[in-house]
Amino acid sequence: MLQVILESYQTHEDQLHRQNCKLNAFISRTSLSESSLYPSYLSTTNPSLPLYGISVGVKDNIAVKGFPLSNGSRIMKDFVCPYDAFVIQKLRSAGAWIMGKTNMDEFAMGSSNEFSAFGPAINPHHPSYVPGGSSGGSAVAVASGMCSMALGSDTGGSIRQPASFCGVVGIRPSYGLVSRYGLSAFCSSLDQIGPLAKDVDSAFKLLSIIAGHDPRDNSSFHLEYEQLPENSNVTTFGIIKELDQIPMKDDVRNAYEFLKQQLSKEFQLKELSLSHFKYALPAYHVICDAEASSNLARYAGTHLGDRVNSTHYQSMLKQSRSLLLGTEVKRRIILGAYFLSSQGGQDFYHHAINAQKHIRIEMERIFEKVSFVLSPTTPDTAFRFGGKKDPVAMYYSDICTIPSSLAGLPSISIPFGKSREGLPLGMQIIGARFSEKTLHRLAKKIEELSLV
Amino acid sequence: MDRASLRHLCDLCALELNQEEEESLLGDLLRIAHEFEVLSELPPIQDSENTQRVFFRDDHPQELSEEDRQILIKNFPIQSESYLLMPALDETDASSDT
Amino acid sequence: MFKLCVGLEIHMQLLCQSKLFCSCSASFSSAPNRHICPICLAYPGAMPSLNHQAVVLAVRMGSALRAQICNTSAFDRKCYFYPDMPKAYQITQYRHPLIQGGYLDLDHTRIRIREAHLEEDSARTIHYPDKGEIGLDFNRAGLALLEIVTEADFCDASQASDFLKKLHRMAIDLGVSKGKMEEGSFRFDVNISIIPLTGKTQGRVEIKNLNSFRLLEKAINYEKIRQMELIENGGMVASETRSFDASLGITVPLRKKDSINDYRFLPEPDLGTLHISNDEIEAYSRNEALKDSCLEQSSNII
Repeated sequence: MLQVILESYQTHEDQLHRQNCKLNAFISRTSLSESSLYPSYLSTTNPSLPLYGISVGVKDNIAVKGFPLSNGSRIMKDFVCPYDAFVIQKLRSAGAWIMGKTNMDEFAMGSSNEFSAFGPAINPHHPSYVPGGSSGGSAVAVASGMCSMALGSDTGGSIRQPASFCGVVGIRPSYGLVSRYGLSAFCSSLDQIGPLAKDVDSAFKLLSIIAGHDPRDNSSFHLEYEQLPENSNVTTFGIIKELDQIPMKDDVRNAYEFLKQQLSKEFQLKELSLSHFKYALPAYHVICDAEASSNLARYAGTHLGDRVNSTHYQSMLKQSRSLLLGTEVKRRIILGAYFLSSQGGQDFYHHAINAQKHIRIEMERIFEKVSFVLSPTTPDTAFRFGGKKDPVAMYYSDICTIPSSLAGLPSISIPFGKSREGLPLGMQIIGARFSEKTLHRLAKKIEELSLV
Repeated sequence: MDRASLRHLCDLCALELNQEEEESLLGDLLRIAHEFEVLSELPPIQDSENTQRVFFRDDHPQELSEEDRQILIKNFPIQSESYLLMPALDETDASSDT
Repeated sequence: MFKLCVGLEIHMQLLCQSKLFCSCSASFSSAPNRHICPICLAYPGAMPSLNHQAVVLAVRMGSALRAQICNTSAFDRKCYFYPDMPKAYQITQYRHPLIQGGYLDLDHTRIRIREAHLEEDSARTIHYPDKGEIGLDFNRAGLALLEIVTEADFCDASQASDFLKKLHRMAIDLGVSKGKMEEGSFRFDVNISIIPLTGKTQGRVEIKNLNSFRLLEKAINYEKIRQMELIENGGMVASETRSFDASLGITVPLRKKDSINDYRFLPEPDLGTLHISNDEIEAYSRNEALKDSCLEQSSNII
């Protein structure tokens, strides 16, 4: 047994050693993740713990004591984190081995991992293609076998989309199921930490370990994973008309239609409408940019991270932020400030929150009619580096993942075949809040169908 | 939204854009202001029942270990005798809001 | 010919053992950066956690001021950059403060309270003018403050001073605040404007950095005359923030008052709404805390 664990680890470690310089999945490892320490970790850890021997990659916006917390940004590249996030405390209690910190779009703002100060991560299926983002590094690490599992964060699709692009499983949990304490905030009312793994069971195993109530996170629900409801009676599933009708790449369309057909043999298919669909992208962007603009204000060269020195405080702030933050981040901060200011008499943020309420209520009604909803994870497959210069085109990649984020609902991307170019395809299922256990069963079914 | 308003926003965010970034953002702002107007179409929902309640914490002080406290001090970009140092404000801005 | 309008803003540190949003000790320490943690130092991923005792004390004070204690109130972020604010926003209560209305009677007048709310204190700054640098001590950052805002009901400086003395005494007697002005646990700013009975409305001037009742009176009296003379000479009083120079006995400009818009208030997404029942309000007002001191009052229903 120990031998199996050691060999498995060694395989990951070798893979990392060989491939990471090309794939750039891990951006830091530190002396704490030295492979020479692994044997003594094994001997001092209780072997009956659920993640004993398991190597986990952690996105570099999640606090791990003694490791960097760069957030993929120059402004934080030398910062060493002095504390563990709640999910990391859970990982440690479960006996896991932390492999290192993974690459990401700067401050989680991006869908391709092209916006990292550490260079992009590369899709292991094709070196000219993006892995997706913002949890690109975690998806690549798992897909290329550099670790058993990984943690990412998902705000509008940042776990699911890279999981889909790289051919691994990615879960966005119900909002409030997993504590955000220790997750560098991007959009507080939408951010969630979640697992990525090669197969459904592993992903849910990791989820069951990191989930649970944390009194330090006011958005954390009073729920442990074991208390989540079981649902054995699934008879219906739905497709959302507005998502069903969006333009999709042919291969995505074909895989989606095939899966729909297969699932219809076992469950009754209902076609439903999300009449507020057109408000989803605008609401998402206003809420995200607004909250991000205040969440990122602490990165100013003042008390943590890098500083560009100057004669006066105000110029020090401006120079530190302007030089050390990337263009996309600066853009969103300013847009966010605009959405919060009363310039032009618009009340963007409150209208966006209101739109979010409408969407949430409508989505909840959908789940009174069906047990789960099926859609592709994204309308496309991984694209070439530099392939989406226009921010609007980049944002469109998240169109299938955003509605469930806004509604706080659990959603999972399951790999489902490949495109003609050999790029992975991903299908998404969305459930009612806290229906993770039901989604686990359904995801397994889809996983089996994907092998057909 | 004109260049002066954009610069004011940038000041509020302690950011300085180069000309290319400014041009690009001005275009975005105009487009977005127009597109996102749809959000104001929706009737307001009063949804007080669904709001999360605040968690309370007991008033028991808990100090960090000296070792952990030193790590926080070490993370200051520049410090002297445990004070975090930074450049002074420009004369016109010399008082706090609290 | 002129009506003098004076209002006060008082910031009193609440007598808690720990800070408002973290468990760092609230005890006064002269050694800098002793009571710090990832939360009050605005570390990435750290989140605020509300001190229950701060709510108890705020309610007690509000009840003593005969104010309405709101059963539901909420927290907001007030966003701006300043050296003493590591998050670059202050968690306060802007849209739905905890306490509304109320009054305090002086000998011949009733001074009305507009509102009072909980907010966090900022860090302490020391100046090194020779080096052009400032030093920051975060011991004070995150301490629980009760901000009390009065209506502009004061007719003269001595009334304002009497009010503060009475409020100060009350806060100490109720065990709500230490009231040690030399330690910064009882601070106040004054807003002064002149309303001419004819002619244009003038700006409102805020005077900060007053640390005694005597200096407050001097500042009000000086400022009143300054504004009157300005108007009589055909000028306009600008809305601004000024400071009182005790040695010269004059007020001097500090900076232009930011308009409300510039704070980009955002409902605090990391804190739920604050619910207090009428029973709790009564219990806190009677100098009692409820038996179960650690109260997690979230009602999370699946």
